[in-house]
Amino acid sequence: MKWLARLAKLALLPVLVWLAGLAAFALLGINGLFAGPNPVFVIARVTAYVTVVVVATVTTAFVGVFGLACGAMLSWLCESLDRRRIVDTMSRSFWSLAAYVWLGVASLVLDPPVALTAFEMSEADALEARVRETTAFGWMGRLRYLALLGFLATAGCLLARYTRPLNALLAVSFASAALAALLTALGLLAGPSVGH
Amino acid sequence: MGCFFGAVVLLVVGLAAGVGIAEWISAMPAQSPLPVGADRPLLAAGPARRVEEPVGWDLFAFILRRNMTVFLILLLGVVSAGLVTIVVLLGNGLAVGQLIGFARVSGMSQVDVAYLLLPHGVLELGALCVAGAVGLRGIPLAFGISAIERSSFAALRLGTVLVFGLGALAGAAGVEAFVTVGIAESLRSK
Repeated sequence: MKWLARLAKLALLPVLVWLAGLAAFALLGINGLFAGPNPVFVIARVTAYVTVVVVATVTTAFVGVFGLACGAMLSWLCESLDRRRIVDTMSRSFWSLAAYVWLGVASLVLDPPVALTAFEMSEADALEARVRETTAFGWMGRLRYLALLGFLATAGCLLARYTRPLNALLAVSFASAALAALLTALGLLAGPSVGH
Repeated sequence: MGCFFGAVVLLVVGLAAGVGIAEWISAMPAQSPLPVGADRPLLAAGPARRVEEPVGWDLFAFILRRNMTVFLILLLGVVSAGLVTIVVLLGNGLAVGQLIGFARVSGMSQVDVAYLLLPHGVLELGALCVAGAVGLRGIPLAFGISAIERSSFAALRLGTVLVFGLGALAGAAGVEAFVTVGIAESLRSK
């Protein structure tokens, strides 16, 4: 039981729980949608796995940017906060995202997606339609802002333990704005896909 | 210099894996991707939609925007202990490797593949490796997080790297949009 208590104190535990949930969600979702030995499905599965890994790491980078912006604002507000505390706060804020992905895993187990046929793979909108039809994906789409709000609220509450609450609120607001600006800039730069 | 070498190694590893995956997929027993069932006429989806492909300056802008996005995401390794950089470099290598692998499997000669990739690829992948080298410096930054100062970020010379990246990727996009397309057309008409 000692190792369990030590594990619970580990700052990175929420990130690991989130990663495990994301891996389970990706496995269930991707293998459910693209099932079969046909090379078309194999290519789709490989592409989807690579995409999930990229999404996971880019999410950690965005949280890094968020933490950096929080630290910059707190330093501007003359708060002397140890950098490790910011890392710890960002890491613990992942509990909200971890709960979100595990909820997705549970709904995928209860209502797994119907596999696409090889014929449907050639249709442009078939994947989008199947994702819309699957209850789990629909709920994940609806709940994403709630998970994000949970993340921001957790980060704010944890920062408020070490700084003045108003400064913590300002830091989280500034970091949210900075992250939104970065996401918008990247989205505008990448632009729409060809043919859409 | 060590980080640049690391970025090149990651890209090459991804490239080799991509070629391997392409050959593994091609070695699978061939199946028709479009089995037509008795209840499903062949043209059930209606006439194929014509996808408008950008050409000329539109293609140049499209390529430059996409590559600049990848360039910026590679730089995010600075704030993610190099994780994003490692994954994106491997992923890009994997994509290029798959392209080379499938081209080889479909009977395209290695010289033709080189004609299509090298003119813009050297500049493009070189610029991405420079961004990768900066992103990989996030690893030592993460290990010494208590000692991070404003000067730690200033030492990365992000402004210079961004200007270099924009210039190199604009050059690569120009070559790809106006030279590589011409080479592809001449190869198609062979």
